[in-house]
Amino acid sequence: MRTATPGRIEVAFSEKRARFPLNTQFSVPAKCVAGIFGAPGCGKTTVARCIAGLERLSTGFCAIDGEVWQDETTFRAPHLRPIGYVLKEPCLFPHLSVRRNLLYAAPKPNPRPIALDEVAELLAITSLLDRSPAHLSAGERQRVAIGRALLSQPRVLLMDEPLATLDRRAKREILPCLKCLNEKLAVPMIYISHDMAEIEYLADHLVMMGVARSPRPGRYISCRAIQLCPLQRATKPPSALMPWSAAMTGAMGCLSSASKGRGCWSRRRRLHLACTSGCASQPATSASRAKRRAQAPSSMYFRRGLRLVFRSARPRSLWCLRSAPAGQARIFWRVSRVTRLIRWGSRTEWTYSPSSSMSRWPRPLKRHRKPLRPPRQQEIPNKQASLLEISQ
Amino acid sequence: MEGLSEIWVSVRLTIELASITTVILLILGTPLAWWLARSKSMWGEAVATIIILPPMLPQPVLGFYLLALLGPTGPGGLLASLWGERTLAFTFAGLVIGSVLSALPVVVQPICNAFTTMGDRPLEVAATLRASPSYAFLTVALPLARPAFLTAAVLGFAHTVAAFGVVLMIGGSIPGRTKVLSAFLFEYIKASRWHEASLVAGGMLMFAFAVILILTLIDKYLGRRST
Repeated sequence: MRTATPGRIEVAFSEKRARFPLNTQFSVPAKCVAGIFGAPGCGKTTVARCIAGLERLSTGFCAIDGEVWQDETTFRAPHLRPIGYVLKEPCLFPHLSVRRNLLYAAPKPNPRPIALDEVAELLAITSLLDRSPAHLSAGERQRVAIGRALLSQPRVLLMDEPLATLDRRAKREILPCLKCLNEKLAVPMIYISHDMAEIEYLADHLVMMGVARSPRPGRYISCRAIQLCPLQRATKPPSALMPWSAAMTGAMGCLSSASKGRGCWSRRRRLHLACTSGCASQPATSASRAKRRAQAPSSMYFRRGLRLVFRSARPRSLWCLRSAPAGQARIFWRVSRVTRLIRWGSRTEWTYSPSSSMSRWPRPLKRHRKPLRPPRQQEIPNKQASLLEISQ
Repeated sequence: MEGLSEIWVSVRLTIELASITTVILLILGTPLAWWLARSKSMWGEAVATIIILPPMLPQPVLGFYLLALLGPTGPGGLLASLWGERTLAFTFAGLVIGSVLSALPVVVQPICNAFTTMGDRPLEVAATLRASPSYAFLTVALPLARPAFLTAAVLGFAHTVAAFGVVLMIGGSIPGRTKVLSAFLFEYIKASRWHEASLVAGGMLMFAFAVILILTLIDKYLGRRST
């Protein structure tokens, strides 16, 4: 039997039933914000429901900070798990006022250590306390739902795409609140999202979920794969990081699309996602770079940002996600001999020359002499020049 | 004015019967509806079908089976022998049992529908907020299904007042004990006493109208206050 480690959130669920095979496993420190990222439909919500105890899979292990909630013999009922679960929809109780909604799960008479006033102030809902949930905006409702989850004094806050149904403005209201929550209340958080910008803004650790489908529609051939790596928190507002999320979504998309037509997928039936070790933001010295090179061919390294290597079971098909600082993310992926290139922004052009053998991997990435597309900036000097001419 | 005092006795009896029946229906119907809405087994469907049956049958058929059940040879007779009576048929208790059985579907259906449309979500949310299943039922499911309870109560009450065949067959129209208004009205019509008949019929019509209107207004008022 597996034993739980204190100070860590350990989750492992697998289900081999034909309709929805799921195979997840991750372990994160019980003090951080763990972001679970994956394309829609890859089982993120199922994992969240399993952690909350609302669903019970055939084999599962769930332990929070040394306390086992589920293993082969035990299964703790959902109402006995000290968890704060925030759903996509706020799901406030319409027959209770905001205050009574907030205090629904709070210990009576005085909720401690997380108090009502503190939460209301943090989430900026002090003025809404005596209203009915029917008279709140979507963003306000979601904030009340977060507050309600917090006031139940959870040991872990589980957020299942809490901002998915909100517009950008409401997101911008709530995201700083969430960041504040984690810093002030010291409640570990599992944050599920398919928007990389949110995860990058909030999370310390990243768990990625992938999905691979069989060429025949409707049948999964591969289990979900999960991978973990430490992230550095972004300091910029989420909007500046948008290319990132697009790049990540693109990467997930290419994973599934690549698996569609390739014969090699049906043989091994499993997608491995490998991760480079160490902190992504660590400045790379020439020595560390050389050391990393020696670990080839399983990984690719980048100077800054998140480093990820997707590696399939067969060494020939290799996906590589490359990230540069915000605004310059690029993805390379390669399926056998086919190499494609996605570009975001156009400051510097990187290209990858296709090779038939993996033995030479990793190849140094060369700067293309000629830009693939004429950069737009060229037009600007002309305009300025013409403006200058006019003014003169 | 002998007729009028007779009518009053009958009115009191009818209201008593309908109130007791409604209370019993709500107490019985709520857990039943909850179980029907949540159970995923074949049993649930079978029980739901049995519950829906009575309004589909002609009332004499129901009355006949109830007579057999409540009579001295049936389980009703056994039950009655506990307090020294021979049969439950032609008694007020028998009348209550018959009314409950015949009005059960009209009470269970709306409550069951409310629980079904509510879905699992509110209860799951309550469960993640440390509410045990029974606490979640009391604080979330019941308040959310409140309009359905009002509807069910009104329908149950009205159905009991309006029941005729069953009441006549089980009750036997004994004055002061089982002679409810609809049985009374039937006798007046049989005896061609049109004046009294029109009084009773008109009164019942007005009563039904008033009850439904008042309950609708209350529901509307409560609904407006809660949103």
